[in-house]
Amino acid sequence: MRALISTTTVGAGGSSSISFTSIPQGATDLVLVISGRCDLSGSMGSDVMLAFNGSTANFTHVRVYGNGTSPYSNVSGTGNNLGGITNAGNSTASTFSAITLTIPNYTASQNKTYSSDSIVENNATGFYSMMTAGSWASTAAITSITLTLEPGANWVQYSTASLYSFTKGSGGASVA
Amino acid sequence: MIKSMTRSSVLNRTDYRSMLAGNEAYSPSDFELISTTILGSAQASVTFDVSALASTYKHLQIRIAAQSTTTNDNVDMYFNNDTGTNYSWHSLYATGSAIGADYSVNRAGIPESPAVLASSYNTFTACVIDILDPFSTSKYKTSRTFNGRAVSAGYYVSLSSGNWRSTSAITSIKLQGRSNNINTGSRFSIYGLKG
Repeated sequence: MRALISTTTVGAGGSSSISFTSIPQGATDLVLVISGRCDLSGSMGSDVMLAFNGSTANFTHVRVYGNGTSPYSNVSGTGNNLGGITNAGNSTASTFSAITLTIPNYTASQNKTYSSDSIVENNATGFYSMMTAGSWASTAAITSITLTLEPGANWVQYSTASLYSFTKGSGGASVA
Repeated sequence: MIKSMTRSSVLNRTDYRSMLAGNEAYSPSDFELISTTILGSAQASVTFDVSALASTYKHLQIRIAAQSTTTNDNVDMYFNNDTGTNYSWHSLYATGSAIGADYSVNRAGIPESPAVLASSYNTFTACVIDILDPFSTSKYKTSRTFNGRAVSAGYYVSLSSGNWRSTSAITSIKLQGRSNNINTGSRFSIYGLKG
């Protein structure tokens, strides 16, 4: 069952970050859904960086992405705490990214993993389509998530981020 | 109908002060199936009327399992019956032997399920489309799609995107076979996500 925790909509004037704090600890997984755009000039897209519980340390990731003409893949090649990619100032006006980021077992006393897929659409050759898998080497339960951008960039008005929780079901037989 | 009752079953009881009687409260999901169309006969397109959904849902998801009637084909998506060249499309794809990126701009419609297989392959191409903020009047509309199939006739998987350059709220979504009809048994489901 998917339950909405909260939605943040960026107002006039923009914001350097989007945060979710005091995340309820009673569910199993978290899913972030982001329709975002930033004001980074000279770029079609901006990386979206993650912080869990205020920390940007102990992250690593691998990604595969395409830019309209070629595919690429690398490991932690653009900052270890990469969560996705969003539309920036050089992309088609009024166009916002589509990002879904999943964090399973966010309260478990294990290192955390996450996966995401991101789309930066653009009415031109260039675009970004990216899948990312990452990890956060911390056994702490995740109680807050902060989304920031490349240095100097701000989320623009009408960007939205919704945080959902998934709760595992009960019952059912265990299968060896 | 009670046919018998023992004294002990009445005395050894559990009393509840809540109508839940020890059960968990039901909390409806914020991700809901709105409707499903399964084609009973081949037809050119499937259309979802979403004009009444804006007050309830923030995002939409469409799930497709589709097949073409004759030759391999595409299923294209149109919003609000706009057939003008007001769309763009990009794709990151792999075929098992190659990986690539593709695009098409200033085009009519968004190819949401490239190379839907013909019925002779007895396989339906899977496709999941997410449309974020479809009812916003401040944004152009962006879709994100996972689709693919795994048959020897042609392996294909892609993460693709589409954009409709209009700030109008989406009121209808049409999925149309590009050259052929969509075959019997093809399924189209639309879900709403609250936000």
